[in-house]
Formats: sequence, structure tokens, C-alpha cells
Amino acid sequence: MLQHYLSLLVQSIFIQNMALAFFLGMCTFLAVSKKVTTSAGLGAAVIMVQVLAVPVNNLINTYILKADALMPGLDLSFLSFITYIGVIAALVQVLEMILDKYFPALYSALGIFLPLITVNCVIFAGVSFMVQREYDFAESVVYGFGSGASWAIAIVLLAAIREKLKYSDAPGGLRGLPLTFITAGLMAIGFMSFSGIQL
Amino acid sequence: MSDNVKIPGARESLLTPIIANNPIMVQVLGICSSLAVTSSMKTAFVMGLSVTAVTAISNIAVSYVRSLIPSSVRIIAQMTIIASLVILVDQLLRAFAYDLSKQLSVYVGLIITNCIVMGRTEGFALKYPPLQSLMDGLGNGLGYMLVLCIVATIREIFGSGTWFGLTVLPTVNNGGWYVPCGLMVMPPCAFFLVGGLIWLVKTFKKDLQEPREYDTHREDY
Amino acid sequence: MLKLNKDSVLGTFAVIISFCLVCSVLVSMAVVALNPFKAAAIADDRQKNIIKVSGFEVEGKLADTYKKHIEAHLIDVATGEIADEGFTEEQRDAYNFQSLAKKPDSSVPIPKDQDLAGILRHSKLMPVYFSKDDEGNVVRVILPFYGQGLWSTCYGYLALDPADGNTIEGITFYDHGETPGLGGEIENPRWQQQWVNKKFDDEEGNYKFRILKNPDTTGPGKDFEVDALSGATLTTNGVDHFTHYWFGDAYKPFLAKLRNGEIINHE
Repeated sequence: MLQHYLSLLVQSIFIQNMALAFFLGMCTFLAVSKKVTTSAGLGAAVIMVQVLAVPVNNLINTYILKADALMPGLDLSFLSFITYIGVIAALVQVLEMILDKYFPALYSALGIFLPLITVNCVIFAGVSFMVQREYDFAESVVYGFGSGASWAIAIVLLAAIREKLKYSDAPGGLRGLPLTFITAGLMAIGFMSFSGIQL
Repeated sequence: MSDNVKIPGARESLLTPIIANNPIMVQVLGICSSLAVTSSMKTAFVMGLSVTAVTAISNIAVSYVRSLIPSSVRIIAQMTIIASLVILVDQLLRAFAYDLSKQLSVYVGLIITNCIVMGRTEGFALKYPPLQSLMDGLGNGLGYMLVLCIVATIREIFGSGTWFGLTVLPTVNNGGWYVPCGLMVMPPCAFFLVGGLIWLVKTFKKDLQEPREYDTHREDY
Repeated sequence: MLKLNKDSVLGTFAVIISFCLVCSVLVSMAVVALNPFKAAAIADDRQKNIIKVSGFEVEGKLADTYKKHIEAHLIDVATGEIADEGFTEEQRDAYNFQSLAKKPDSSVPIPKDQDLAGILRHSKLMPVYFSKDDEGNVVRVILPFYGQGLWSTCYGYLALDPADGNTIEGITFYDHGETPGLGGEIENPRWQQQWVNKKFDDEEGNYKFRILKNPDTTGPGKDFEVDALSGATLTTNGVDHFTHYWFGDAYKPFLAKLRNGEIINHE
């Protein structure tokens, strides 16, 4: 059984990398990856929210939204999108308050990124993938961590490359964003080599 | 809203975002889905239409109720409107274009977190009257669709030899002569194409170029 | 309401609650109105794919052709026997083995060493579709099969010749998330055509069917080997494995009964 979770973890971090295999959370991925320290902070925040949001939405999906879950014959799954986004927004707010009160140091490190995360599609996509693939509760915890970590790793790696790239002498039009795109594309090709791993 | 804010004309708000202030190439919004759904023209086109519809309608809706929304909960209020619209689009696709909705899978839901929609309601519709907001939404949606279709055209023709499913270059698998370029249909290719497009735009529009951070041609290091 | 300050706590609550009410009423109404269309779209999609491998063309309306030629039954995977009892025609036809495979009381776990398809559990009952000609003779037996490709679970139907329960008459894949142009080529009709007239078992009853590069086209393997898709080795391996799982393992009892003539009475 442990083996199953371990393979799910490795799969979600490397093979199905949120940023480099599914292109999720691109806006922040490209915009907030200028420095390693900031992107590490953002990555940590994403992991944190993802670990909470995926399992919580899993419970909500299983016990409220699924067909026949609340009462026989009632299928609320059409409300899924609105519920998930509501839950994510609420979770982010609550997390922000808790961190502010009890872990001020952590809050000041992550604080500015937390509100951004509500509209980061990594979280929403993580929840959608979890529902689509019908993970159970334990699997969803593992998947939440794995998919959050996959995004965090990708953004830290990209930031590290960009820190070096700024010394390069690129043509005017290529500077900045286009070069970041091409770098991310090359990274994605690198990550594709994981796709052959059988677990 | 004070009266001295300049309200852009309807025509202007429709046309600027299509090329000059394109959401993907200039504002860098809504990248995620533009990369993931562009391996075939059909999905890109439907995705573009869906986003245009959602942006336009949510813009007009937010604009109508903009004076009612308390500022402390404005994000949630906009989310509610956007999410309801996306559910509608998703249900419509499931009912009338089942095949496509299977292919788009989670990406339809991801329109909710597509920054174009949220960015336009927050940045435009909250401030301006409904007509301009509608036009702005349409313009941004169409600008998004334009980029999606350009990328998808290149990817589908060279990657699968077809366009909208119609054969353009008969592939070897189907008894023709064209050996499809595998890289084109792979996800990373979308990065290169969008990167290249932005490069192209920035080459001609010098004012968009980013300043250098280090001058590598200085002699006196 | 009009006098209420919209930025006060009460005002905020009032606005948000009325917002939610309006939105939920609109959404619910739309969903209820669209439900029949959605159900029809799903049924249409299934029928279209089954007809594709049934050997018949759609004449006039899809639903009419389907009704005329296709008969749905359920089989008990473990014993291979027909298990129609307690189900109406419609329930058998739309039997949702995908979601039932997740529930503990309607499915069985697959031992790790036998799980070639990578699906962990399968439904105890599986639908099987008999394709009948105008005289009511069964001309094809259509079975669903599915498993892990490279990125996703691929779902398909495979039609067998009822006379020997061994020769493939047609396949189709109706749901997958493989890369279009590479793994997605499993949808390519030309590739699917290669499967036709291939056999699963040799005369001694050993499973011989393979999908591989450079298949044997002249020698002893020519009845059993299909060419792999170029550029999609991992997807093809996946398809090879789950085909092996279903037709070399899970459906064995049913296929044995089919070959003995216990399932279809040949008058």
C-alpha cells in the first residue's frame, strides 16, 4: 500500500508536473520567477494551500456533491466549480488569518503571495484532476502535496535559470518574457524524459 | 465614479485589446490554457469562443452591479459571477458538443481561474459602464482567441498535417508523404511558439521591450 | 435595503447572499433544462462508438439503427456467465462500469502481479453488446476494454467474431487523453484496421496477440501481430498490456463459454 502512495507521489511531482507537463499556473510561473528567494516563498505557499485544498474538496465532493451523496437521487455535481473556487478562496483567507496570528514570521515571508494563490490555476486544477481521477481521501492528501511540490520545484528551477539569464546579451525583442518562455519550453522537454518511468 | 475619469469609447475598447494591447502577448494574461489546448484547431477555437463569451458576459454583469458590490468582498462576488457563467458554458458544451468537452476536460473549468476574465472584470468592468465593458470583454476574448488560433494553426498543420481536422498535408500514417513533426504536438512546443510570437511583436513594437539589466558591451568592467 | 450601507457588515452579507441566490437559481435552472440534452449526448456518443465496430452503417437515425442491431447484456466477469437478472434493457445498455469499478461492493481488486492494465479494480459485471443482422443472428460480440496508456486511461470497444470467439472484427477507442498526433493516433482508422482479422489465441489456446515494432507479416506471427504506432511506444505498450489483461485474462471465462457455444445458440 505504501508503495502505491509513493508511486503516486513520484508520479505527481515528476511525470505529471503541473507547470511543465500541464502548463498550469503559468501567469505566476512566468511573472514571479525573477528571483530564487521569492519564487521559493511562492512555491511553499502553493504547497501549503494545495495540501489543504485538495483533501478538503475531496471530502466535500464525496459527501455533498457526488450523485446520491447527500440524499438519493440528488446530483449536485454541476455546482462543483463554484464550490471548489469558493472553498479555495475561503481556505486561503483563513490560512492568511491563522498565519498572521500565530506564525507572523512565516506570514511576512508568504503574506504577499497568499491572496494571489486564489486565482492561481494550479490549485483549482489540482482539485479538478483529483475529482476527475476519483482519488480517495488518503490519495488526495498525497496528490495535493505532490502536485504542489511539482509546481514549486519547477518555479524555483526556472528562477535559478533566469538569475543567470539576465547577464546574457539577448536581442532586444527576446529579452525578458520571450526568453523565459523558451527556457520553460526547454525545461519541459527535459521533464518529458520522466514520462517513460514505469511505477 | 467621478466624472472627470476619461471613459474610453466603445469602438476603442473593442479594438485595442485585439492587437495593440493583446492579453496574451502584451499583458501576459491567460497563458495556461493558451498552451494546453492549442494542439488542435478545434479545441483552440472552442476554447477561444468560450473565453470570449465568459469575458464579455461577466464584464457586462459586473459592470451593471458595480455600484452594489462592497469592496471588501469584490473578489468573491466577481468569482461567483464568473464561476456561474463557466458552469453554464461547461454544461452547454456537454449537452451540444460532447466530444469537444471530453477533449477539453478540466480546461473548461480552468476558465474560472483564467486571469484574463478576472483581470478584465477587476481592471475594467468595475470602473466603466456596461457598453464599454462588453466591448472590452469581447475585444480581450477575441485577442486571446486570435493568439490561440495562430498557435493552433501552426501546431496542427505541422504536427498532424490537418487544419480543423481537414487534411492539409497527407501524413505517412494515412498513406501520404508528410512525416509529421512530433515536436509540434508535444506540450513544450507551445512555449516556443508563444515565445516566438511575443518576440516578433516586440521586435516591431520597440516600446514594449524590456530594458537590459546589465550592459554586456561596456568596456570598463 | 436601499438605505443599507453596502460596506457595512450587514450590507456585505445581504449583497453576497442575494448574489449567491440569483446565481444559483440561474445555474440550477440552466442545468435542469440542459439535463435531457446531456444525457442524450452521452448516450449518442456510446451508441455511435458501438455502431462503429458493429459492422453496420447508420441508416437514418442513430438511435433507430442502434435499437435494431444492438442488444446489450451483462456478464459476470469471474464466471463468464450472462448476468442480466434484475436489470432492465436500458440499465444494461448504459451500465456504468467505470464508476462502479471504484465502489467496493460492485467491484473486485486485481492482484498487483496480474494488473497489466494498471486499473487496480474492475467492475464485477461488464456489459457486452451483441450485434445482430436483420434475421436476428449474432454477427459480432462487442466488449469494452480499457487501461492505462501513457498519460491517461484509454477506453475502447473491441468486436469479436462470435463463431470462434477469437478473431478481432474491429476496435475503436472512445475516450483517452493521449497526445494528439502521437499516442492519440490510436484513434487513427488505418491503424485500427490493422487489428481486423488478427487472433488472440493460437490453436493450443495460448495468448499470442502483440502490438510491436516490425511485426511479423509473413511468418507464424502474421495472425497475431499489429504494428506499433511510431513515436508513441509507451502508449502502444499500454494498449498492448491492457488488451492482454482483458482478453488474455479477465474475459477468459466468458470467451471460453463463447467458444463452446454456451452464450449464443446457433440454431
